Amino acid sequence: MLLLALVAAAPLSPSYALDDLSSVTNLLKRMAEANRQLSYEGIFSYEHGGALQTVKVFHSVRDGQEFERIVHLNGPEREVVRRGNDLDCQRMGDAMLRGAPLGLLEISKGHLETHYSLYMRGEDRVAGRDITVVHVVPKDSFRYGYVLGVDKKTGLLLQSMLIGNNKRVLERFQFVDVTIGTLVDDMAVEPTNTDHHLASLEASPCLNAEGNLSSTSERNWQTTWLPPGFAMSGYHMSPETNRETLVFTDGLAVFSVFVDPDGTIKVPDMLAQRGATVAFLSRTQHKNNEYTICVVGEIPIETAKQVAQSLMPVR
Amino acid sequence: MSNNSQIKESLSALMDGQADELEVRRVLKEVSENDELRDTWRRHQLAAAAMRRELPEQVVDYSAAIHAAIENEDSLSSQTAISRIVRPLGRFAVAASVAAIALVGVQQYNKPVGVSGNTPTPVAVVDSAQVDLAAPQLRTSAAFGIPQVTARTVSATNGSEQGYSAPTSVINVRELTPDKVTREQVQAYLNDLMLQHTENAASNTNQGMMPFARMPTDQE
Repeated sequence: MLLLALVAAAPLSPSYALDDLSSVTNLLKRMAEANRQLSYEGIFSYEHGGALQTVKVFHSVRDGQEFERIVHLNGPEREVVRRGNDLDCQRMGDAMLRGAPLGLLEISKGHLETHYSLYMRGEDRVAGRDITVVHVVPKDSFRYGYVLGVDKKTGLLLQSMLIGNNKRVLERFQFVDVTIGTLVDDMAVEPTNTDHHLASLEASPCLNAEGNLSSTSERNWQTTWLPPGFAMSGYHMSPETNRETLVFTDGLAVFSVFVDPDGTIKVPDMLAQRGATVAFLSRTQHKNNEYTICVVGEIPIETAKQVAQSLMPVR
Repeated sequence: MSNNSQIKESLSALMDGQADELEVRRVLKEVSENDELRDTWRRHQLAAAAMRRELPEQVVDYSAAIHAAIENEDSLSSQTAISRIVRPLGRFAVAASVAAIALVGVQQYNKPVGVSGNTPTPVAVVDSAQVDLAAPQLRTSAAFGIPQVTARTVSATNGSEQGYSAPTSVINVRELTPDKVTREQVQAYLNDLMLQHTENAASNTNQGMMPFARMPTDQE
């Protein structure tokens, strides 16, 4: 048993042949597809700050659409359902991860490799399945790193760790048990709790045929600085609250910028953190109106701060 | 150790994948007890890494830091000395259990960010880095999400004035401004933003619904 663990995890084992960039890239591409196209159900654990959560997940594909549900198994009841995510819909994050060349100038083939170093780190086991371990190391300090465990047989992501700039693990997702490829019951993706949350896709539009975002012209706020490699992946203006949401990604990390008009709530400038998620909040004035700006994401605090400070009205 | 050279030979065999199980056990035992051998092992790995054109910075040795953390962690860790040395993944796993607690460094934000000229409000500093590794707080699932149980103090840059913190189980809010907003309002606001961000993260990353595990609870 000891030997087995050793051999499986030895990252520098000379016998491992697949250690070149194209195979890592292909693996990530395969992973990006598997996570959406496969049907699976299982239980995974989520660890952050010494706390452990267990979550049950169902992912079913029907008529080219994704139907998903997650239920928190411990602590207060929380249930999230997401429906009707079209498999044909390619978003900015997908495109970047798959290395698809886009119409946008700054997004090119090999986008991920420009901002991260990718390494095969041998093999391991998760949820009783063999995985390939990929180490994703950022080339600058604007973003975090990852250790990804990808199922060898199907490409499904079974383990994901977020690594901070000080090489600390900030959070970890890991399947405990998973069934992949079998038919998931239609009822399994229906909510059981009347208090469930229905996940919205409104700030995550599909890319058009040219690989660009459609209809982002009417926004009122813009960032004047972005960490290299990040691009806008979505925009949404809530008609009810007039909250503007701008979403950015580099293919692995995502952060959201929220701008609330005066009157929503007078929150003081502050910094909040929960697990690997940081929220940087500040207020600004424009044409005698006050606005609350909040940058939320799994990114270093400095990055969130710089983005928040760079936010300016359009015009 | 008199048989160092012999062990080093075995070490080479191990690197080449040619050591048998008994030899592996013997080498690991020796390596775990001998600093010099550990250095040799490290050099072998570096050389192998260099040959494979991996960046030197990738061969970071976590063992000392992790080792210290584990020592402080008492019996929490089930890692053996052996696996600590030879399994980088094991290191990550251990790091996850000990280091994730000390997430937020003491961040000093002395200046408010607002580009406007309105009255500066003190920026709260979340300081959860003071978690005592020597006396780890093992939280049961039932305790998670109840700030009172695990609350750590929050220090504001402007100590005399209000301090706010995250909607999190680890961090608690200490004081409130009397007039404008209540702690509950601030947390509800942040929870709302975090939930919306999670929706964005879940549709733009490769993780499917996994980001929703981060979902805050109303109670926090």
